[in-house]
Amino acid sequence: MKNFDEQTLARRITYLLKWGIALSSLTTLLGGLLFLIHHGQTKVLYKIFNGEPAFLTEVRYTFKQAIRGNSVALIQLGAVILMATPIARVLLCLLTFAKDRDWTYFLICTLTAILLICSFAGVFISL
Amino acid sequence: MDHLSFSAILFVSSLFAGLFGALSGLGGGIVIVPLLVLGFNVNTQYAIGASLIGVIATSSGSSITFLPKRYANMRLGMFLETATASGAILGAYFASVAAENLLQILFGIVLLYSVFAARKSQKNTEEVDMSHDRLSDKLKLDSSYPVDGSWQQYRVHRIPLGWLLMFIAGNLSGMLGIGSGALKVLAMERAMKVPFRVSTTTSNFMIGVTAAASAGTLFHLGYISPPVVMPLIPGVLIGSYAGSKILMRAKLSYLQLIFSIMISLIGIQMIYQGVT
Repeated sequence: MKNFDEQTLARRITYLLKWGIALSSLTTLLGGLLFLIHHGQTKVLYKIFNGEPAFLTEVRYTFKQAIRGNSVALIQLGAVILMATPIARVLLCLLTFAKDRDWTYFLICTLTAILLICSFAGVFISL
Repeated sequence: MDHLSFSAILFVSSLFAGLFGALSGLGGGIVIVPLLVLGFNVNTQYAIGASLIGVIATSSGSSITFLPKRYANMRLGMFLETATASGAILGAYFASVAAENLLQILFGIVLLYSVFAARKSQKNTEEVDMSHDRLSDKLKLDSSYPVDGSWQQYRVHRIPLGWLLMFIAGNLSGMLGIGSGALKVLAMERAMKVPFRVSTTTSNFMIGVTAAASAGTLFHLGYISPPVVMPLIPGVLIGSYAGSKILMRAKLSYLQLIFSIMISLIGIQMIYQGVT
């Protein structure tokens, strides 16, 4: 039999993922509607890779622009929320293992969390 | 093409991508990249970025459905995430330095191999190896899963080999913008002798973290383009949800075979695109 803790953790994770998806979908949808209203007629050009401007590659700038109602930044914020959901899931596991004093798995989750957060913060780009 | 029609067509296409991915058992990501590159003439870099976002959406979405069913081995998943996450970050680095056509060729090869591996896995019978593994005992990886109302015990084996294969799976995931579900299942089922049901659900559980690890880095490099991502998220989510519902209801071996053949053709087309 599985222990009780695991079931509780699974329930919490499910809850977290539901919220992550809902929040991300709503933000993306809102940004998408605004985008299509303003730029629906512009031509699509993605054949050549040009990267993206700074306000779409730095979380804090994306957030600032999204709050101001910039449609593209709103969509990007939705993507950021989606990417942040697995990170939140790892942090949730990390806290659960700390509470249970399961230090092996606490360390394992900490390692994964560090990798994810550093990737998100752009640490690996300058290496 | 203007953005309105681009979004509309991409939304409908990603519905089918999600459906295809779920029914073939390969995940949505493996169809999204060729869809964008071959169907919409989108650059491979933007396609990889968008696909990773779609992969995270699919993983989160399907985890909601199956986590309460308690097939997945969460401890095993979390342990192996150290491998897939570090592999994925390295993969994202490779993606940023590799030539576009090299990525296309590699994508085609991995796609063909995944179809092969997924079909092979489906035929496997479930037998349990109950011998002890020292490392598995230490990491408390042995567990049980529900089979016809009772709990079936199983043990996990060959942890270092599994970890290494997961590192490679993560690497391909970050480099090509896919979930690498087929390789993850292979690593768990074949190398670590984990039951098939547990392997597929645990793989899905891990895919979100794997894709997020490389998506974070690629986000900074400007791979994630909002207008490409926008129609994709709802499309893939709805498509894969519908696909998983259909899968639960019926046995679809013929349909799955047709999907596998179609996906193989896409793989060949990707290689052709890369070579020419």
